[in-house]
Amino acid sequence: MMLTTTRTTVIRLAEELGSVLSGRFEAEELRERIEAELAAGAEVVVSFQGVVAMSPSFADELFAKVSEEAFERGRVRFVDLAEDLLAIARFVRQGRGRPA
Amino acid sequence: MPSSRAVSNYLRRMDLLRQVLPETTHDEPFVRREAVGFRPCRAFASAQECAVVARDLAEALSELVETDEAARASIRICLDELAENVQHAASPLGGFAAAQGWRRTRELEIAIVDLGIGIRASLTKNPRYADIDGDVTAMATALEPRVTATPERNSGIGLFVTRLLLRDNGGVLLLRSGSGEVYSGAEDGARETPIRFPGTLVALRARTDRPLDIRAVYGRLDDADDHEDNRDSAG
Repeated sequence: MMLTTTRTTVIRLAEELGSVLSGRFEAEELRERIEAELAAGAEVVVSFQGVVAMSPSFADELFAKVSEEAFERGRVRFVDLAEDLLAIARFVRQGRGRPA
Repeated sequence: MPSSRAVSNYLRRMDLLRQVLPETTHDEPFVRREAVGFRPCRAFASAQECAVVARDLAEALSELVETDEAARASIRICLDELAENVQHAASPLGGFAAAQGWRRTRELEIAIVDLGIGIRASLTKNPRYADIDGDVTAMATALEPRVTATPERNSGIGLFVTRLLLRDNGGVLLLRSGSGEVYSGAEDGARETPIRFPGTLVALRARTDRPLDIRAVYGRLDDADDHEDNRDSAG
């Protein structure tokens, strides 16, 4: 029997982008990076620990445009989200007809 | 220039003429002091420049007026959202932004302007809003959630959350585009303007002695959808 291991990439947003997440282009780059990791067979965990606030554009680009298949299968996970960040994430996903 | 010397000098100090007429020499009948608590008019075009300007203006305001972390984050987010709209305005000169804090009245004011096609021409590119008639109607529509000229790229939430943020704070959001002007705050209003404005002006005035926290706005977004659902079913 052959065992396979899955690599997990953890992205800590506050460490990489600061405590305020804004700028659609920054989120676009982040999403492309996540999708490259997924395409390479990795799982991705995106941590919002230390994030104070996030712009609607950033949330839209990240939560509403990331691969839905990877999101549903749990291959990309968003963790440590405060309630207000969850609220904007839900709102942008609903805006693109995705489940909240 | 305005006939008032004080207003005229203020506009000069805010570098309005330098930005709009860069090739011309401008007299400055005053002593130019360091920009503390305000930032003169600055030009931006790319998304990266938008982000830099948004960050700088948010920081500038905290030099003169008291702003907490939530307020600085909220200002930066709103500026970033508004500046992004400029990129879709087809403005030949990009956008311009300036900010001013007022310690005595405990207010801050930020303005972003472009000389693009204006809100109505932009919004009617989206077939859903192709029938919008008039600048005031277009601006009032643009303040609603999920209204955008480019739905494939944008979510149409930036102006909406900025409006809610300022309403919570006791501030005002002003839009000026084409032959109309719309403001939203404690009271909402609109009027036709006799002089046509070529492009779009968005101005934010907020109180610094009251909370300015976009996180509280996000906490009420589900209600916004309920409101939309009710309006759709009523219509």
